[in-house]
Amino acid sequence: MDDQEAIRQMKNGKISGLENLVNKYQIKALRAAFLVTHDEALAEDVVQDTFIRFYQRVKHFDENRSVEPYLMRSMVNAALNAVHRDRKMISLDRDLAQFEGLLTQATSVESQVEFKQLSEKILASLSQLTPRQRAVIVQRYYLEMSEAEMAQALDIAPGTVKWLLHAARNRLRDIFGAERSKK
Amino acid sequence: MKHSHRTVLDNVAQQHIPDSINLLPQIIQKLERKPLKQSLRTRPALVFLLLLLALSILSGVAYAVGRSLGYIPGVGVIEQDSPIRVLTEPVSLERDGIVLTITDAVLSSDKTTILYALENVPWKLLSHQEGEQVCYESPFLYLPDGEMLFLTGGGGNLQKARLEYPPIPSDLDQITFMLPCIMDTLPGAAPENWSLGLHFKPAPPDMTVVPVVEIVSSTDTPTETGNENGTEPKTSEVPFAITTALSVDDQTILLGTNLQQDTWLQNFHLIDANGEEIYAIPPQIEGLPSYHWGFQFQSNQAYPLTISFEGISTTRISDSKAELEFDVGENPQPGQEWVLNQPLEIGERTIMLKSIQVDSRGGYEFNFDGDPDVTGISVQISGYTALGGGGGGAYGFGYFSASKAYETLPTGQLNIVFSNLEISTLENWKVQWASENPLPAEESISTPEPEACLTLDKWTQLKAQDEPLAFNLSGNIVALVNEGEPLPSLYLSNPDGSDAQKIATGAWPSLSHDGQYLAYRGDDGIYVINLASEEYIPLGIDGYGMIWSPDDTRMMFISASDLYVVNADGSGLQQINTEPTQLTSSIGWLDNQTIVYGIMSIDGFNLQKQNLQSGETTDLFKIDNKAGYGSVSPDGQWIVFADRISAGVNWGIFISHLDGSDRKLIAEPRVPTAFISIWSPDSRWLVVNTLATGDSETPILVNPFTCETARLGFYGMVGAWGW
Repeated sequence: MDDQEAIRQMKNGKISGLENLVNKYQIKALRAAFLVTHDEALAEDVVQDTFIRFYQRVKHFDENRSVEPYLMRSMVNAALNAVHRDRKMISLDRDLAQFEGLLTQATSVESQVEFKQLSEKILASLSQLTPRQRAVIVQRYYLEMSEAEMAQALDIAPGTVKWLLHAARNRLRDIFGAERSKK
Repeated sequence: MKHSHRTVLDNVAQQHIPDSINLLPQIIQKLERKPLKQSLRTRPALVFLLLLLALSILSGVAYAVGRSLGYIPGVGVIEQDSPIRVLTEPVSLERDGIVLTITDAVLSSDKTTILYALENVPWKLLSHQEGEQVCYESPFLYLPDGEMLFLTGGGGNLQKARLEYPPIPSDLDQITFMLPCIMDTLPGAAPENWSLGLHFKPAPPDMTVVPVVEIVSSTDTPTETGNENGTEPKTSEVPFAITTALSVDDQTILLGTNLQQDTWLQNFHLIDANGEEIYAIPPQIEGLPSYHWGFQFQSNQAYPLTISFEGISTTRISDSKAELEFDVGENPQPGQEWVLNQPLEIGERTIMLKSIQVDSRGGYEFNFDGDPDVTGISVQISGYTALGGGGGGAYGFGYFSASKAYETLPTGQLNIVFSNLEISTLENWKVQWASENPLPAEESISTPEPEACLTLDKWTQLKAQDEPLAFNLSGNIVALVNEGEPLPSLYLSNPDGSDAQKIATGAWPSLSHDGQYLAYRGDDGIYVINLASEEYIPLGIDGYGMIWSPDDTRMMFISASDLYVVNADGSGLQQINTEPTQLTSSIGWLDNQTIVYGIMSIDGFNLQKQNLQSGETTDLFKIDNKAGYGSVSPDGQWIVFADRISAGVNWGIFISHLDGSDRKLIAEPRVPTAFISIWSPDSRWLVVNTLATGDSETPILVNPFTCETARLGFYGMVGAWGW
């Protein structure tokens, strides 16, 4: 069943359409939500609620649109809201250098042990970023969204995305430059 | 081995989110719960408000023409058939620092209205989590003979509410107000079983009671009804009726009811005899009779008026029938699907049976396609009795389904009977309405106010103008424009709207006095933009109502009802102590150390100023608008605010000095205005944000000292103006 058919089924009140979408996208959504929230239980709540809200409002969804970007956008916003509910005041740590270095290092490690050690450090480094910065990183490097898509997804001006990625860009230019230039 | 960035992050997350995880059971379980029931159980505050709403709809009795009605601001519409009584004096009770006050009561022949206020309820005593057991028992009245009167209507919130009860016998001058517990508090956390003795006396002769005239209506129904294509006008019964028409001050209020539960009314329009759309708003006064829909508009119109609603009406064609023979085999399996694309002629329509599928609940699902007007159908399998079924579709989509569940799944050759085709139609109903006895203007008893700079006539003229701005204005403005997204777009432009550029999505824009920085509330907190470098700086703080200090080094703002001052870079966050600790509003700065703000009181907002160094607080004056909005002019000499004119229904825009002197009406109450008006950086001009039909705002430029006016050349709400 393709996504369009799943949407049609959901619009007809059939749960099978939702089952199809959940089975297809839940792991990706959960991992992205976890990277933003750093909390497995919170990530599960966020993704459950995202699918439920989508099902309840599906009649307003234009079935000609792609489902995945919409779901991931909703999920990232829900994850951000969930984190903000827990922490009203957000500390501002804009130093992305540690995270960028580790991420870069991890792209070329051979050993599983080394990779696992780096993974833990990456996670710890991610936790030093603000939830909003984490959301931008997740959208850019995990969900592989374009800058315009990210701006739309976060309901912010493209300039804000630019700012949020600015520091990372400066430091990652040499490493990622060749790859970005392909896009 | 070379990993992509996505792979790296996926592996990082995989250690916490394994591939084996499956959320489907929890999602299905949550969906099968009844969300409304759950939310009611877990949100007692909502229960209270819904109860009030339900009571207001159910308990009303149609008003009969000929009764003597009056409107008491803050209390509502009451009957004046018998002498009105009021509370002898406000009564208060303090327990553990929490103060319960009955500020007033009005006893009329049709109801008892109690105005109550609750102050200083500590935040920690209230529930802040879903699902907690909390108090939600409503206050009631206890009469000397033991009779208890329970809530029949009203409105308000935890801090301030208007409560309606049945009438109290005229020979009874003393009762007890009982509050079992404070709504939303945790069990045992706050004092319970409050009781206050109330004493009543005849209303003073000078009490403000605005005459309310019940209008004898004449309706011509139906004048027109047709489907969305404008063809084949139908004579289906108009699904709404006007139940009450009132004239209060210079306003007419129309209240009505829906006659057909299955018809959802939407897209209301009110058109005058010349075909012009009339600006109508929801009723703005309290204590109205019950209604499903209601509108308030200026009485001075070209009658008759045409009221129109759109709605989707649904009918079932009972004699429609079609049959299909189909063999599902002897052992159909859950999930098995047969794609048929079989046309069915039924009810003079052709629909397509797309597929039949065995569902997971021991039944079949039938999926249809083809006709956007068809939204449902009944299905039976001959010889089998279904345990239940479901299905349906939404109007306009063309897809719908029907399902049947059986104790034993039917197998083999099936005779499937389709019937009762459900047809939905988008219709537009129109009714003409005329007032036969509009209240003459001279009978209005509102306190006369001096001529405003912006009168209704002036506003009407300005709205129609499309001329370049004649005044030479400096600086930049920021306008909020609704572009269909959850948050408005913020556009920076010249004051006439030229050279506009979208700079952010958010609300509560505030330009620094030098025009270099813009603060606004984004989707997750306050941001500051350096407009020169286009640097976006999230302050990491949630709040709204930001206002820059004169030297642009600090901002005041509101967060969770409390007032704060913070440095422009987000550091040095300082909560401002205000007394009493009620909802606050930010108004402005007099100098770099003195802020002006509003504190919610029983009947409006009290404006105060406070010196940030000494903490010295000075009362200024009181305004009566719902949110306490106001704005201090950049030179610190004036304040602009929305305020209710005595006994009036609407609010006007005023300016005055900080002590309330030299008060001047800028926009008369008949002009529909937003609460927020914006000063020019030189303190010479005001932008009054006016509201046009269709939720678009029309900003009007007003010189409050010379009364020169002009329309700014764009739609949107001006939220900031700086150099």
